[in-house]
Amino acid sequence: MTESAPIPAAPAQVDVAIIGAGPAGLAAAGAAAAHGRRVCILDETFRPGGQIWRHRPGAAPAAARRLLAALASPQVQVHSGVSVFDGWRQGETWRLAASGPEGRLVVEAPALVLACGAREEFSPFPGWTLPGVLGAGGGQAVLKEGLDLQGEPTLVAGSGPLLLQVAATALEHGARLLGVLEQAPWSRLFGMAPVLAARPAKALQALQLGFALLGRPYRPGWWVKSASGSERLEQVTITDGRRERTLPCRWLFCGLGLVPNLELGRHLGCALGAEALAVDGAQLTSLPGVYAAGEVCGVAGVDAALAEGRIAGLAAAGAWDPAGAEAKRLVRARRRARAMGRALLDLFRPRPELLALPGPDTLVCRCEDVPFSAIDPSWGARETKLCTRAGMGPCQGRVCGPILARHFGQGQDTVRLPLKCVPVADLMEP
Amino acid sequence: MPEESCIILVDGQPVTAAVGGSLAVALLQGGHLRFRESCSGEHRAPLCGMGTCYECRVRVGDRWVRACLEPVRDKMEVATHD
Repeated sequence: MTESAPIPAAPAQVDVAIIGAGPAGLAAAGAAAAHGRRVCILDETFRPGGQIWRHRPGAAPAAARRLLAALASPQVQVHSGVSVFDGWRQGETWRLAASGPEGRLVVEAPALVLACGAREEFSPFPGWTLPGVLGAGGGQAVLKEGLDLQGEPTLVAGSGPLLLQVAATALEHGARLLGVLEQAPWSRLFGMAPVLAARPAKALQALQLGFALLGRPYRPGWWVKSASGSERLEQVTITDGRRERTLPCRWLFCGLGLVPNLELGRHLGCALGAEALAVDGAQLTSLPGVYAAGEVCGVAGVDAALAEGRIAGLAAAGAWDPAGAEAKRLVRARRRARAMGRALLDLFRPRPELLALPGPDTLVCRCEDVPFSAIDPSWGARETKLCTRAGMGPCQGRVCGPILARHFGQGQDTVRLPLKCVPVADLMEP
Repeated sequence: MPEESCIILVDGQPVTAAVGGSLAVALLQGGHLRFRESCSGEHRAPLCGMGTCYECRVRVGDRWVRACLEPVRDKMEVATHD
């Protein structure tokens, strides 16, 4: 042996490792760092803030700026642009392996906070794979990153409170907004009134968004039936179930709501509650030292994420006192935000007509180009994978899994490593 | 604060982009709506905008990246179409 072997990079050792730099992760980081803990945040985006606080530098709202300021503490390391692809118990601590611009990164900590957020749920229709068709959250993301729509005809569709925000952002970014189609009917939207009455701040926000959209059609009970174009989106056909209209359209931002990102929690072995990670009052999962906060505990929005992130950060730092004044305030905030989240999920539940939209050739799995006609309704998730490759592409079923669940009642297949597509070199220990 | 702009090369064509901004937005703004071709030959462009769907994957130098998670750097060389 003439040369010494490269020294394996030792795992970075911290007190609390946090996955996700959205509101929940940032709140957890601030709380743990303020109690003297060494904190490491791993986040996939190139700039902290998560999806809701995805703003160009300097443009973040005040609540975000306060939490982002805590990242300047020497107690806090932030790794942006890294994807966590594995996690395991090592003696008394947890280890996470991630891949990023600098290659493989391993972090070791006795406490983890899973703040992995949520992704968008899609509801396929003919033409949904055309360039120019994005999710509603996807549209919001590219707009906030600076896309200028230059007067091009743009439609926002799908379901949920996010649609109004996307429409407002699209207008700010030069869209000729054709309208906002909310698949939920008016009769159900009136159910919003008591929910909003209980949350005046949210009601004000809704009113402000309403004013921004004044004069543009907001159509409850309408949805996109199909989209077409030769190499990109050129027109959409919309319907309310009785009437149809076909409109020239260059951009369609269409999403059905959010689904929690459970892959890391499921891989570690966290127990699940109703479609999300189960946690106790201190945000502790079923595993020792593993906390969870925000959308991974069920989709409930930014207020739940902020309260739960702070609780998880305090608990991970050993500083959670359930009898204290702050704890009472946080627990109340969490309860109110969760109640509102549940009410909204019910109001904006998808109508059955959406399930009839895909044609035989409409793709269910965009990674492997698997059409709806290839799926036998009697199959489970595993058979679907084995027989069609649906769910075996780079997104690993993150897009088609919820679609197959919605259309065919399929359950989730087991989580496979690596949790994200990463370069082979990063998979191996040095 | 005006953002610094730069030139990147997308399939050899110059595209003006904001330094540190999202590569996916730079491509969309530059009129590049074919980020990749699917296995049956369809053109694909960003869907989720947040690193989940992998529809915006392109090659930067010798690395595959999700364009929506990649910050723009001056003189970046980008190859679309897998």
